[in-house]
Amino acid sequence: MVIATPGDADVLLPPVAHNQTASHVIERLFPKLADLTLALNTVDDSGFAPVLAERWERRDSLTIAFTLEARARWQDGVPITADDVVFSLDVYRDTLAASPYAPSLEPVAEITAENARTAVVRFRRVYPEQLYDVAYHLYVMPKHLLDSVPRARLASSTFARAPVGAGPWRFVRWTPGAEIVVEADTTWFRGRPNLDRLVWRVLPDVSTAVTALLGGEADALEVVLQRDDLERVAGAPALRLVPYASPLMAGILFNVRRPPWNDRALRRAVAMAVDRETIVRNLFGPYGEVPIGSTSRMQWIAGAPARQLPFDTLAARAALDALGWRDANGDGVRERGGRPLRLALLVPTTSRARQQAAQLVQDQLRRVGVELRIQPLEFGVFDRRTAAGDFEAMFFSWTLDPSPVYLAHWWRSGAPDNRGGYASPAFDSLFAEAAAATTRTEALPRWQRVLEQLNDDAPGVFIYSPRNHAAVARRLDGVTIRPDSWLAMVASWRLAADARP
Amino acid sequence: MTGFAVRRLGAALVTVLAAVTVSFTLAHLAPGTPIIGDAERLRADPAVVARLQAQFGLDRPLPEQYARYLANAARGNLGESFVLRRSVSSLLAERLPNTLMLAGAAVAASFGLGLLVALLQARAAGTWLDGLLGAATLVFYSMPAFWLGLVLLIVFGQTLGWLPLGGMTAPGAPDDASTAARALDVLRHLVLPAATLALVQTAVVARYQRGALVDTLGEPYIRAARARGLAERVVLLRHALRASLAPVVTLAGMSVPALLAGSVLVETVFGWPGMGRLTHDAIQTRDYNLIFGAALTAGVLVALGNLAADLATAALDPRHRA
Amino acid sequence: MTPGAAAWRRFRRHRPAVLGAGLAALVTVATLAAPVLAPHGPTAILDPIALQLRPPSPAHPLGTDALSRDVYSRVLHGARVSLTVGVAAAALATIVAGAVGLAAGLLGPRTDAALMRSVDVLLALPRLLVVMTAVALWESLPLAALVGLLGATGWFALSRLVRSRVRELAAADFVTAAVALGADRLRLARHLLPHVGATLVVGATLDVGNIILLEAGLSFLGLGVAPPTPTWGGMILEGRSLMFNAPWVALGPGVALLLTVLAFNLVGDGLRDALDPRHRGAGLA
Repeated sequence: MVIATPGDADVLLPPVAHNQTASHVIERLFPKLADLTLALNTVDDSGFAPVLAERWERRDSLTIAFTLEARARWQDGVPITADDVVFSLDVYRDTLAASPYAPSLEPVAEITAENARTAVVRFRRVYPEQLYDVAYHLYVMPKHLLDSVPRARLASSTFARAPVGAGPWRFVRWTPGAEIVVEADTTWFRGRPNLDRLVWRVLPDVSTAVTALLGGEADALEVVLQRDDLERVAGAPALRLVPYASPLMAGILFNVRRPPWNDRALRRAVAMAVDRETIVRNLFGPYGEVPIGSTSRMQWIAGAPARQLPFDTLAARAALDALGWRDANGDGVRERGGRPLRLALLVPTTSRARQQAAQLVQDQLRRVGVELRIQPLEFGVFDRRTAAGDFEAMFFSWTLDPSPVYLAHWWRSGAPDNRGGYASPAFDSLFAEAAAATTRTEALPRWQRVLEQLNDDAPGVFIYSPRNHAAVARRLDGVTIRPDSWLAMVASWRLAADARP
Repeated sequence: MTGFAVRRLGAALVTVLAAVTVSFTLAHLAPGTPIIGDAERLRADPAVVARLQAQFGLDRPLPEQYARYLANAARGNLGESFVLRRSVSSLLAERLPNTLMLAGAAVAASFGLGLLVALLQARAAGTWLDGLLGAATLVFYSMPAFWLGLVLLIVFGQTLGWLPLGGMTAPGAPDDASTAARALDVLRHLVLPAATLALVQTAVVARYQRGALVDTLGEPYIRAARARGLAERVVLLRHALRASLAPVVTLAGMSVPALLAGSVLVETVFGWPGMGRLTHDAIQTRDYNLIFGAALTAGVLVALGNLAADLATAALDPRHRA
Repeated sequence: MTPGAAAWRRFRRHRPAVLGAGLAALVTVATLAAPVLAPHGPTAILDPIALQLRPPSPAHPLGTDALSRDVYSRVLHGARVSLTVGVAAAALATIVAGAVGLAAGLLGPRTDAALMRSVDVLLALPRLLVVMTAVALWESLPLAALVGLLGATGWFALSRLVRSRVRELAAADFVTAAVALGADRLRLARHLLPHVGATLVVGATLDVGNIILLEAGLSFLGLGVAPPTPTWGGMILEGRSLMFNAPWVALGPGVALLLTVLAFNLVGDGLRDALDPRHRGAGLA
């Protein structure tokens, strides 16, 4: 099966890989202790299927002990042991490796190898998603092959370009800029996948990927986003669209450290001037929706009837007037104390959707007297500047985690990915309450309050969440897509009986 | 002859140095210091940043950095790409052959076709054929190459479906495919991008050569040859062409910069994995080592082109051994 | 008949050149009168849902784009950027080329050698790459800087032509006489100017086309003039992914580019044939 992917992988080593393509390939090559099932239940133990671990048992409220499969081996034949697990955590945490995933593993205090087959994980605190955090975010890597590589040089090591992993798939080759090939590993103890080979064909951008798909040069594409592309794929006889709940949510994030954007009332006024519905219709037609808050359809909390700011230009104008922002000189832009009401928005050039949406927002804000300046930046520069807090507003596009607890990464005071600098004790305490709930019924109203807190404070404007569609060739059968990671169940995909491989 | 060659080599070296110097100057004049990708990921802890800067020698005075870069380059060490995490030389080694393939095909096609068109025009000077061909060359000369590429892609790749839609190879080709099959595959992918580059280049060559050929065909010795009863074809091929060979070769050598520039646009449109796209990506991502490496390569290519053209011209026509 | 009048007559008889001049005039009018001629503003989002990606129609002669903007209006406004940059940068390049060429021709063999050697080296640098690097590294470049950059990289070949023309002229009797009489170089340069003028004008006109293509290339690569100002190259970039469903978004600006560059090249060719009939370069019958 040929997968069209826009953008080459950067490295094939879990802790240091940064891009989407890399993460899809890595997920095929490196094992986790356990993996989520289709239900995406991150709270219950039953939501997980064993992968590397044969079973696990809870020793006490802070400790889980995993017993590894005796049959598990790395693809060079060496058995996988608990030492590998300990080693992997160490690599993730090492500052020299500078893994962006380290914060996700922060709740793990330590992992010890009780014996070759038992890894004992101790957590820093008691909370319902302990299993989720260690199983979902930790890939196990071979200690015997990576130990000798200096941590700062991991990304440029030969291993990172030709990894030896363990799992249903084995690495074959990576032709940079062109393709990555993995093949079915018949020695994997949990059974081989139906397909023989997976080929990621690297293409320069999304539209070329769609073109390749339509031209029969690829069999699958993770997301077909733009409306015109969706219509083209829908009309193609050899392809079909497979919808799945989107993990994606995009919008504008304010840097609340910078005046005047530290003024909550101002942010709320601007948010009310944005016609989110029109933007969604323009970008996606019927294939997208306005999120109810900082969440997406994939997360189970997305059904909560959270209170949101309305789209109301009259109210927005009135609010701006009340705050003292008026257009004194008739140039269409409001001022206060001689300072014009201007907002510089950083947008990555790689995202056509975001650029298009930004222009729509610009037009909408102009009508209420706010001048939005769009600054397109190359993605790396965009990422660096926003990470360093060097921006007024940014157009973000987040791939959410199945668990709403992930909201902390962006919104909790001082969180590493909290690029906008939002700090609200009210939010922090509401969040802590929600994260501590042990059942979904208990948690839902708490999460609703969390979402409402964010909507009220308007640290950002949550503009769109596309309704994801994967484009898949009809000759593929049994295609199930797990929303947080579309290829998670690829081992069960197969060719329709009469199609050639 | 040796003195000539030595002087030409010297000129080549100066060219290469110029390319590197310009890119070096630009990179260091631009706002923002050469960024080490890791620094941001380490959340800009000043101590670590300082250590990394010292490690890469970015805290030394500029002339020293420049000298060190040149010294390293001479030894073949072009540093590591910050963004792609690989050695620059390996990246270049990977991508350069693809561009050479593309440019080579374009040059061959365009010079062949261009000379043919110019010949036809010269022979039919003043007639409707001359006018028609002249108009055609002018149109292609005025066309934006990237737009032409897009149009060709739509017509031949999408609407007619004759040729692939980009890239250099079809995806997931079986490992045991014969060399011939693989070569054929690459060739099929080469047609459109090479054609795009070639069409514009043909116009350049034809425009350049038409006048020279018209002049040559008016020369007395041509008339004498015709008077002697030599077939027109022989007259054209043997005499007229030979006379125009020298300027064409010079043009070929001098078109290297234009081809490099064209390859950036064409490779982007067609997704061809070559030097042009690599350079573009490097510039966009501010991957300084890669930018310098690409500039160095460009300089070397241009120098080689000029050198080859000079040597060929001198060999063809002793008058030019200035 | 004065040489000027003779040249003008030759130019007038050269039909393609006249055609080119006509086209160029049209484009210039479009540029100057764009705000008046364009039925809509270049950034006016008309109706993001109902008027998105409409094919050409009487209301929208070139259709609408993904943001429901009128393509025809944007093409008209795009002409402003292309033409301004093209003409200004060409003018700059011509001035520098003239100065350098004159200096090389008049200031003695050593200056000549130094200048021409530098030109040789500078000619080796691919213009697009140099400009690209500068534009990309200085994130937001004002228009004037872009013009300066394009002009500063475009005088090399032309200065060579000027220099050889000056050398030719320098051999003429009246120049030798003037030098013998001790005329200073600057005065001499001023006297020679009208004679090299032909070379300069032709060079400038032909360069306009190149610069317009360069600017379009830069915009296509995402560099150059920042949005929301419409540029032809930028519009082609936007239209690239829409080529299959809405080809008019990229076709409109592409044809506009072609016609504009063609116009300037036609005029340039015509001027060259008219002002220097000995020249037998490319051209139409």
